[in-house]
Formats: sequence, structure tokens, C-alpha cells
Amino acid sequence: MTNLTIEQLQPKLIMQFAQIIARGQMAHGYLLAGAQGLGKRQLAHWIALRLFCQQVTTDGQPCQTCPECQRILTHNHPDVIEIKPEGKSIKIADIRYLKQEVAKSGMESSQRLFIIEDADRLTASAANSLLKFLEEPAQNVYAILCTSNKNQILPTILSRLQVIDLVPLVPQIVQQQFETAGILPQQAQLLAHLTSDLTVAQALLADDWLMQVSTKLAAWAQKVEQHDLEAFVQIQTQILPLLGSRQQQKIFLTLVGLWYQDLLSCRYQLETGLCFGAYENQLIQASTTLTTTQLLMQAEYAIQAQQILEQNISCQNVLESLTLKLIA
Amino acid sequence: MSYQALYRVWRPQRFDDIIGQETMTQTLKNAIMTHQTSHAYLFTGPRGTGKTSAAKIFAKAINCHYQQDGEPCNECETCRAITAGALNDVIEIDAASNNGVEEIRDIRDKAKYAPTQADYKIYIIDEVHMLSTGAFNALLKTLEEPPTNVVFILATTEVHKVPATIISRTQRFNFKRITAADLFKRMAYILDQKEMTYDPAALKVIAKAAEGGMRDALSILDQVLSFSDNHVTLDNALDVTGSLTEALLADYVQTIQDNAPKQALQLLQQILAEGKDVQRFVEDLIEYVRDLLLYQQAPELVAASEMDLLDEHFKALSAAMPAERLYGVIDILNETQQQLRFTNHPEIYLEVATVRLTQSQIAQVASATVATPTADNEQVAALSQQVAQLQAALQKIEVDGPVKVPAAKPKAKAAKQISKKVNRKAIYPVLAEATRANLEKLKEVWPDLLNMLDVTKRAIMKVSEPVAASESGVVVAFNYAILFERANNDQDLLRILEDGLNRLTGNPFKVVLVPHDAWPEIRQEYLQNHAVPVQHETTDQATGTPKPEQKPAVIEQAQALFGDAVVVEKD
Repeated sequence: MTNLTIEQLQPKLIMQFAQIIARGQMAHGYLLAGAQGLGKRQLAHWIALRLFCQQVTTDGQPCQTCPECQRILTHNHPDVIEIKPEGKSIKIADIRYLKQEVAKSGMESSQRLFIIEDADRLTASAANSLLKFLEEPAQNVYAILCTSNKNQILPTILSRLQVIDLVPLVPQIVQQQFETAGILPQQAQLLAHLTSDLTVAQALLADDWLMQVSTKLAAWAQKVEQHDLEAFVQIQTQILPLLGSRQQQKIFLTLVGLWYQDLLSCRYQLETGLCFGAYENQLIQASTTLTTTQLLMQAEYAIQAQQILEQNISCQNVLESLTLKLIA
Repeated sequence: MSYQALYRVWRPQRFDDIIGQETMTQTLKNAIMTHQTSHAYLFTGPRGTGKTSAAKIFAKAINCHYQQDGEPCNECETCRAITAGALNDVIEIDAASNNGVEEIRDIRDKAKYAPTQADYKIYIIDEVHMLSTGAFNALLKTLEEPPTNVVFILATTEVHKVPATIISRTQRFNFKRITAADLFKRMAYILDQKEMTYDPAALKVIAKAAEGGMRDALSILDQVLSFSDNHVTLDNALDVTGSLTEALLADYVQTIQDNAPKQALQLLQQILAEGKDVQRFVEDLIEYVRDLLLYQQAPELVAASEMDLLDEHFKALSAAMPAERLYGVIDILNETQQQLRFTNHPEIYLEVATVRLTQSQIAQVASATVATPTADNEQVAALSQQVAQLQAALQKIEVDGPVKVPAAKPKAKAAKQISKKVNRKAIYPVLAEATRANLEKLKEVWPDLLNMLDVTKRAIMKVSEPVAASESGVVVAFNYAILFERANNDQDLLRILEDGLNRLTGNPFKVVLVPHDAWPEIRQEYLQNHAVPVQHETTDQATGTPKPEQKPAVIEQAQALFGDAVVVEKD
């Protein structure tokens, strides 16, 4: 029941960074961009270990046992500073603190490393006040920003950093990883499209939540296909009780999106695996009854619903209006 | 000395080093030469175009005692102190972190004191758009009439956030995006200086990805260099920028042109699996399509911006795709690009967009057919009249009572048998040329076709599905014999089906109907009757002895009696 290690997740990047650090070509700022569970944080930590480790092994790996490594692993190193959003965003006060720290030289070594997690959640003023610092930081100060949504980072910040896109894992590999962790194959199939992080996946499986939701989703989709207004009622009676938190609501709409993705791949008989393998017959049936234009329109409604939810509209409204649009 | 990013090492130190902003730098140089400098400047423009660099160079040039033609010497003590950021009289302020009234008051108070070492006191206020309203207003009076020998330089990327009262007190310089060609030249220059080798195509990719920002270009170049051994290769550049090769883009656009959604989706999945940046993919695609469009109108422009040869595929695509289609493609891509900003699951957006791109033709036809009936009022009037007549006729029949009902039954049976025979004759040519690909193509448009029918006809056709298709014919199987009967006798329906298929696919189609139960039998028969004879024929030809046609005795007799009017019908 273990997550993949960073060496397994991003072997290529680890190799490249080992090379860069060995050659002393470490740039002052990196942005690690990639979806959740691709190992952004682990990669940042690996870099920290590699920079500070006193006994780097011959093949360029940190030893993970020396005092420096130990302190980094337990988040106790005074020269490795981590900032993550408290609540919804990273505020300017956090950045002020960071800049104060930058002004000082290293506590024990000559170098300092800053790791900012979820950099897309920097407030506008916090992001702007990072600009000058990122442009010309002091010597031996390194910053690593992590984000899962590169598009929401200020372009002026992007241009000051080296952007590293983490290659997404192939769903099949993630699926395998899940299956070896003891998740049933069909669930693993769906989960692999939602996340590549094992702990997140297990959280979703807790109390059989995911299975219940996907059953309800399939039943709802069936009604929608038949243009049966009962689908509208199902939102209130069946689906909403399952969607307690904001996160769950988002996942449900993502699932709706994936459902349409599957419909498209059924329609064009693509070889890639379906997310909803268990409902293959229903999907195939549905994909043949819809015209291409209808299918596209419905898929677009599903996508729009995701955006509307982001704009803080209540989930019930979003789902009900989606249902009405799909049935009409 | 630790490693420094390329854009810091190669920060321009003279006005002439600033690429692509000749108007601005010349104006500044002239102002310094003629001592006509203003007390406040506002530098605006997108990121990485040289605003901060120009401010620093200006600070040096105006203070340097050995300046030549408005350029700083970069050798005297003042120049070097400013480059190192050590001169007290050149104050660089990060407005984003010092955005309150307090900090501005501080500036205002200190501006009163005369410069200590240099001739001019220069305040460089970077990211000035982040000042609070209060801070901006506190600055107004100082900015209007600062003490002598004080110069303010404000720099920002977002000039729309700066109040008009500030802008009107400054001389405004708009820095523009640097062209790809200029970026290319600069990068080539730097690499030559560093004695590194490069692949020109790689620099082109970087220049495109940088979007007119020199710092972006050098950051990417830095990254490419750190991932490779002192040689800039195309593969590395594509890897780092997440761009696609021209060939792949051409393939994708080709699938759009061919209206082949399946291939397009497969290509898309391949691209996504390689971990390409989705946003960049859409951008690259828009640019590619734009180039196609441009190439139709002004080939020389595209050739110039692309900086090297255009491949044959590009030219072929440009010739093949009509401008309207390209406009449509750009519209859809633009829309998708907007949507992509707000999502963590981009695949579905791209898949929908891809299918939409490959569907334009069908969508047009479908919408056209939907639109016409609603518009046509005359037809509706005529139809309602017809209905009224029919109702009257029906009433008449009811009054007269059902008379000829029993007689109708045998007729129907006869029709069934006839239709079955007619059927087979029409099916065989279709089967002879039927292919799997044709059937798939047809199944794709089938729902669209059904949608073009009116309600009653659609209800009949709902239980049908195409089972075999060739280039010019299709066999449609019906689940229920009774509906098959009705459909087969409905010449109007068949005509509409054939017409609709013609519009959707572009070539004429012959529609043949069969009952579902009979279909396996018919196919089996065909295989027995035809696949085998074909073999016979070939063997006959091989031996060179065509056998005389053997006719059954009955037929010979019939022919003798009736002459050539007898036609043999194989069942």
C-alpha cells in the first residue's frame, strides 16, 4: 500500500536534475507544473535533498540518512522553507515573510531553498510582490513553485522561471498501481482517470462512495437518454445526498464529463480503455442513438456545467439546469 | 559564483543591445544627448521586452560623464556601481511589495535631498500597477514637479491599472513585442558567444513559444541547454516548450480537412499521451491554421515569418481548404482556448472540439434541413388542407362502412413476396462492393439522417440499422417484418433517405431494405451463390475454355414458346 516513489514517477526529470545540480547549473527559479499526484512535491523535496545532502551517492542520489537529509525529510531544516496556502489562498503576508527570510543568508549553509506549493493560489498582490524577488534573487537562493494549473499563474511570473511540465502518467500504469494496492479492477479503471494519487483514490473509495455515485450517474444518464423527466427528480432525490462537499460536487461533474468522453470514444470506436467499463453496453447503446450534433451539444453542456460550478453557483442549480438542457 | 540565468547574464547594458525597440531607444538617446530629459517616464509593454533594462540603462546614461551618443560607457565608476546596484542615488523600488501610501511618502520625503554621488537621483518604480489608489494619488504632486535632478521611471506591464492622472504627467513609451526573427537573432548571437552549437529549427521553436518576450526566450533556452550537452537540439526544444512538430500539426489539420473524426481523435490521444502541453497545442494549432489562411492571400508574408522553408504538406493543405472552413476552425479553437483556462481536465474539451472541427459539413446540412420546414408557411397551409380533405374522406368511408377490407389482405401478401424478390436483385451489387469502412462511415451519419426525417418516418426507421454498405449502396435491416413492409412500400421514404444520404456523404446512395430475420439467410445465400461463381469464372478464364451456358430444360422450352420475353430470375 505505498505510493510510487519519485524515482518511479518521474525518472527522466530526476536524471535531468541530478545532471543539472552536478554541473552547478541550477537556475534560480523553477515552476513544476502538472496534475495532482504526479510528484511535484516529491520532486521539489528530492531537489532539496540533493542540494543539501552531505553524502551524495556515486550515482548522484541523496543518501537520505545524513542529518541534513533527515531534517529535510521531517520538514525541520532551517534553510528549506516551505509555503503552502492556509485556507483558500497564499496571502501577501506569507510572501513578506518569505522575502524577509531571503534577505538573510543561509542559517547553516550558504544556500537556501524556497518551495511554494499550489502557486496558482497566490493572491494577485502576493504574486506581484514575488516578481522582483524572482527576477534577481540573491546568490544561492533557489525558488521552486508547484502548481496544478499553470494557466492561472501570472505570465510575468512564468517568464522569470523555468517551467517544467511533469509528464502525466499513462492511465494504464496508474490503474496497475491501484490494482496492486488492492483496488478492484473496474474501480481502478475509473479512478485512474480522476487521479494518479493513491491516497486520494483511497479517500474516494471510502464508504463505497465512488461506486454509489457512478451507479447513480449511470441511472441518471439512462433517464436523460430516454428524455424522461424523472432524471430531473433524481438529481434531488438520488444524487445530491451523495454530494456533501464542494470537492465531491466537482468530482461528480468531472464524472459527467468523463461519461461524455466515453460516449465519444464509443461512437468512434477508439481503442483506449473506457472509464466506465462496467456500463459499456449502455454507453454503446446511447452513442448510437444520438446524432453527432446532439452528442457534441450535450458534451458541451456537461463541460459548461463544470465552469458554472466554479463560479460559485449552487450545485443543485447547476445539475438541474444541466438535466433540463440535456433532456430538451 | 553560482550559476546565473541567461537573461541575467545577458541583460542589455547599452541602448543598442535592446532588441526590437529602436524607436524607443533612439528617442531616449537623443534626449540624453541634447539634455532634454523629462522628469518622469512611464515604460509600458508586455513582459520581457526591455522595460526594466531600459530604465537601468537610462539611469547610467544620464549619470555617466563619458557617455557617447547617448550610450553609457559602462566602464566608469558610476556605471559599474549602477550595474551592480550599489549606487545610492539610483533607487529601484518594487511597487508590488511597497504599495502603500507609507512607502510613497517615504519616497516623497527623500526626493527632497540632493543626489550624493551621481548627478541625478533616479527612482525606478517597477510593477507600478500594483500601487494602491492612495499611493498613486500621494505620488501625483511629486511626479508633477519633482525637485531638480530627480527623475522618476515607472515601469509596468499593465498600464490600464495606472490612473490617467499619472500617465498624463509622464512621457509614455510603449515597448512592443519582439518579433520571432529578432529573438532568433539574439539567441543565435548569445549561443555563438558561448561557443555552443545549435539547430536553427530548435531556436525557431523557442522563438515562437516565447511570444515576443526576450526573457521568456532566454529562460526556455536556458532550460534547453541544461537538459542537453551544450548543443541545442530540436527534440529538446520541443520537449521543453511542449510544442508539436510541424508534421504532426499538418497531420491533425489533414484529418480535419478529411472530416475523419476517428483518426483525429486517435491523433489527439497520441499527442496527449506524449505529455504535450494542451494550451500550447491549441496555440500552435491556431497559429498553423492562421498561416494556412495567410498563405492563401500573401505567401511571401508567411515565408518571411516562418524563417525557413514550408513543406509540401502545408502548401497542399493551404490550397485544399477553403477560407470559410479555416475561419470556422479558428473560431472553434479560440473558444476552446478560452475554456481551457479554467479546467484541470482538458481532454474532454479537446475531444469535443476535435469532433466539432471534423463535423462542419454535416452540421451545416443538418441545420439547413431543420431550418427549412419551420420557415415554409405555404407548405404547412397546403398540408393542413390535405389533412382536412383526408378527414372528410375518412368520414365518408365510415358512413359507407368498410367494404373492401377483406380483399386487401391477399394483396399485401403478394406484395411481400414481390418485395422480397426485388430486394435480392438490388442487394447483391451492394454486397459485392461492401466494405467495413463504408459501413462505419454510414453508421456515423445514420443518426443525422434519422434526424432529417419527419416524426412518422423517423418512428418507422428507428427500428432499423444499416448492416452492409458499399460506395454507392446500403442495406438496411428492419427488426419487425411489418415495419419493413411499410417502409419498403413507401417510395417517398426511400427517396428521402437516398436524398439525405446524398447530402450527408456527398455521393449518391441506393437504399435497399431487408427484414432483420431474413438478413443472415440472404447474406449466406449471397456468399454461396456469388463468392463461388467468382472463383469459377477465374478458373475458367485461366484454362481459356469458356463453358457454354447451360440452361435448364424448362427455360429452354419457355423461350422456345415465348421468345426473348422470358427473363430468368434467380432466386
